[in-house]
Amino acid sequence: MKSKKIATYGLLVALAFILSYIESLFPLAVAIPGIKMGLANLVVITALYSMGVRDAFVLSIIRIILVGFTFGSPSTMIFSIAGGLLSWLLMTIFMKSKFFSFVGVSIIGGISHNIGQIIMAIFVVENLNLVYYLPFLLISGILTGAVIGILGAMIVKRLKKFDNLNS
Amino acid sequence: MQNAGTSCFSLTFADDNIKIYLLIIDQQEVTMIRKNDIILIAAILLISAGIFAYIFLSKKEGSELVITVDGKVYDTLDLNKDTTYTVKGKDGSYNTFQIKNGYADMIDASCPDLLCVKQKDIHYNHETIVCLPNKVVLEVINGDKNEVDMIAN
Repeated sequence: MKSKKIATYGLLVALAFILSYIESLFPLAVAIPGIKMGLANLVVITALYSMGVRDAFVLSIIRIILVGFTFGSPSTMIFSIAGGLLSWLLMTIFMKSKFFSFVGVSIIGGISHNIGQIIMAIFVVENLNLVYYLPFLLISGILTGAVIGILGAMIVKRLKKFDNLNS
Repeated sequence: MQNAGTSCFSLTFADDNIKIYLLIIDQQEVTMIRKNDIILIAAILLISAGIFAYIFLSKKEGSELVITVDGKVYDTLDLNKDTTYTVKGKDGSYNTFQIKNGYADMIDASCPDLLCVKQKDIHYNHETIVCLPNKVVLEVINGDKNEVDMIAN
């Protein structure tokens, strides 16, 4: 691993960590389990486009574990992991398909993060009726995903001016 | 936070007005948004609208409240009898809710995020209040009114 890559990793993990902290300071008014602003997804999607699929995965997992132990608890961590993995998987598929651009991929990331959490919640409390929250999760995922996507596209565009983070 | 965010956003726009335009038009580079994304958004909105419509049309008045803890039924209450009830967990955790005029609402809990207390009161069939940390679920059902064992405390 080149030293530049190590530095980039450290920078992005720190950034994701801080964004998660900011998010924990401002809980959303809507009290539906699974809904998140997903600020940290900004870092994951930036890594997805400027570094690569594998790096985005590693960053995402490191962030979830760090945040889980500091601001959350092991019991909330399983929801983050479910959301994080599903969101990474679908964003990767949508990005590789080249069918959608930044905002589309980001929206899929936001939605699948929420859906992953609700699927986990259904297993934990063993109540299928939680799917009734689904439309709220879809719409909130569109809104947060679009904002993150627009911001992310601006960041990646600027990063390309310097050079690829991966080099 | 909001202030910093907005000012930063408008700054970038003023700075880079033309570049952002290029970003949208140029498909070889990092494309921000194009037609397929709009179609995706529309499709998701349509699906949500469909589910909303289904929920709205299948909405029925509930008659009973089922309390489950960790997937097991803890108690069943009549939604038409006003009461205050506390669900006690093994590890000292608790969830207190109130039934009033056919509506059930969580009023206090031991969980750290208190999401369950913030959730709105429930009245219709299949509506739920969930406390994930304590694994407590309140669910309205349309059960038989005769078989109710009320153990209110």
